[in-house]
Order: sequence, then structure tokens, then C-alpha cells
Amino acid sequence: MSERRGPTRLAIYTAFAAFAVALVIAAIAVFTLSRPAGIGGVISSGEALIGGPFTMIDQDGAPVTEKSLLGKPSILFFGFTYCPEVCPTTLYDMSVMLKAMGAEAERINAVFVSVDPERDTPQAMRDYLQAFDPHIRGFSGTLEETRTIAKAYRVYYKKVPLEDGDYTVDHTALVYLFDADGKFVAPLNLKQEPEKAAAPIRALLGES
Amino acid sequence: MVVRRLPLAFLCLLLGAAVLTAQAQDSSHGGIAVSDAWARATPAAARNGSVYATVHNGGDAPDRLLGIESDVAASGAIHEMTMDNGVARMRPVNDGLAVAPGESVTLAPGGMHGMLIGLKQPLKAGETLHAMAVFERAGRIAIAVPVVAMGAPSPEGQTMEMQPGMEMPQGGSRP
Repeated sequence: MSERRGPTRLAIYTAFAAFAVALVIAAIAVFTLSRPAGIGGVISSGEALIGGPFTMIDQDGAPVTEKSLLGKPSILFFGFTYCPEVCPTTLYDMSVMLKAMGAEAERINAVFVSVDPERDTPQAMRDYLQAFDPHIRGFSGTLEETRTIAKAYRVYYKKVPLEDGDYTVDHTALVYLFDADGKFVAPLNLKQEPEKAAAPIRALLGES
Repeated sequence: MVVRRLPLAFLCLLLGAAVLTAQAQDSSHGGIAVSDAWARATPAAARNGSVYATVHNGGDAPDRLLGIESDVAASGAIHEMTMDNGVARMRPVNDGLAVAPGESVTLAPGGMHGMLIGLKQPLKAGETLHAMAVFERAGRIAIAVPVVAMGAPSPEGQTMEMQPGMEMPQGGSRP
């Protein structure tokens, strides 16, 4: 009898342990997945939960870190050069806004950060950015460096295979605005008149 | 014998060529018409490029656009871009894009696009691609696809004045 109870109890413990593990995984999943939607919450908390230490290389081959962005308000957009849709559209909108800002565009950092470390070399970033406003810089890095900056900025990205062995990258396509101290302010809406789009950046420039 | 049939063969060739030319010009076949096609320039090493166009079904049977193909790419497909919670995703639309009789569907940035897969060369602003819109029923319809600047939101959208150091769009209708 007692010999039989052993396995039964083990089964119960196992089931319980599995349930506990599943709960933890679910909690992590919910936490991770709700991040992009949680930006509103970040604003109300007033804390810069978006942003953090990183090391990348700019389009001219110079190393950059989070400190390189301090002293000026910054706008950051994550994407990749092979991105056929949202990236060129967003960078185009950003270019229109930077053009509308005139000399003020010199007083901010505008950065395109690659989430495709395998294909986006500094050279590829430089070539790509030729098509857009010259104020926009391009940061790229190794697989590990890309993971680090994406995690710090709460950016989701995932490599997805296509038909012919090629791949695309799903990615958070929000434009983030930070103040001169590197604190997250709000997502920037470029889908409006350039003057309106630039208003939150100008507000930061007025303060400094 | 052979000599006597030569003029007939020649006539057939001429006729065939005339029919083909007519088709290429109005890009329509079996009630399906493709218009306002355009593509965006691609980065130097990119393997894919997107093509946009408007498809009108003037016939009385539903049809499906299965892809847009060109000599400059290995194959063609239809892809869809979606934005969900700030995350952009692109996926193949495997059974193509349905076009009901009497309806028009526009492929445009932010939604559906024809995907040229396996580009043999980058698409350069100013050039015009010879492409084929491939339909389930109507078959292959020849289209001319002007290539516009990389970020242009539409062929008419290249109104932004370029600053020094920016690449000039060579095509399109910049005023």
C-alpha cells in the first residue's frame, strides 16, 4: 500500500510543480508582452523605465553609448535596413519633421537603431541613411549588443523566416522621445503635421 | 510550299505582337486592370523590394492577385504589413489578394504590397521596372513600375525639399 502511495504522491508533487512553473512562465510572458502597451503607465509613473546602458557603433564606425545621447533631447527609432515598409516610411516622416525644425534639428539627437545585427553593418547603415535627413544617425551592434539595447529600451524584435531562406524582423516601431538627461518622455507621433510632431521636442528645447 | 506559307506566318507574328503590345499598354486582361504601379528604391544589399499598385476588377468573376514578379527578382508574392501594439510585422499572404467583381483594391504602404523576392540588383530611384502582376484567373498582366525614392510615401509624395547631403529622388513628380 505504502509502496503505491509513493508514486501517487510523486505524481501530485510533479503536477503541482509543473503548475507552479507554468504560472511563473505565464507571469513572465504577460509582463514581457504587455511592455509595449505599458508605455502609458511609464509616463504616469514619471520614471524613465525605458532606456539604459548600451554600447553600439554609429554609421561612421565610432563607438557610442547611452552617454553619447546626453545633453540633447533624443528621438530613437528601432528598425532594420531591409525593412521594406515601416522603417522607410517612419524615417521619411522623421526627415520631414527634422527639415521643418530647421536649425533646431542640430540641437537634438535623431537615431535609427538596428535590430538586425546580422545584416546591418555601419557601412550598410551609412548607405541606407543617405536616403534620409542627414541629422539621423544609425547605431548597429553585435547580436549581444543589440539584445542589450533592445532590452534596455523595451523594444521587442524577432527574426522571422520568409519563403526563400531570407528573413524579416518583427519589431517595435514606435519613435521614442527622451530629454537631455536621457529620461523617457513619450512616444513621438510622426503621423501628423511636422510642426505638430515636433512640438514635444520643441517643448524640451525650450526648457533647456 | 514553305515559301508560300511564309507571309501567313509573318502575318500571325505581326498580329500576335499587336495583341501583346495592346495588352501591355492598358495592363488589362479578362476585366482586370492594374494601374498606378510604383516601387520604392531599396538599400544596396537588400534582397526584397515592395511594389504598390491599384487593381480593378471590371469583369464579373472574382479573381486573386497572387504576386508581382519581375526579371530583377527571383520570385514575387503578396505580403501584408500589420501594426499591433506598436509592433510591426510582415507576413506572406499565401492565397493572394482577393479582388471582387466591380471592386478596386490598392496596395499601399502600411498594408498589402507586392514583394519582389530575391532581388538581383537594388531598385534605384528613377528607373522603371518591367513587371508582371500574376492573377489566379486573368493570368499574367504586364505592368511598368516606376521606382521612387526610398522613403517616399507615394509616387506623388516626393514633395519634400531635399537638404544638402540628401539623396535626390531622380524619379517621380517632384514639383
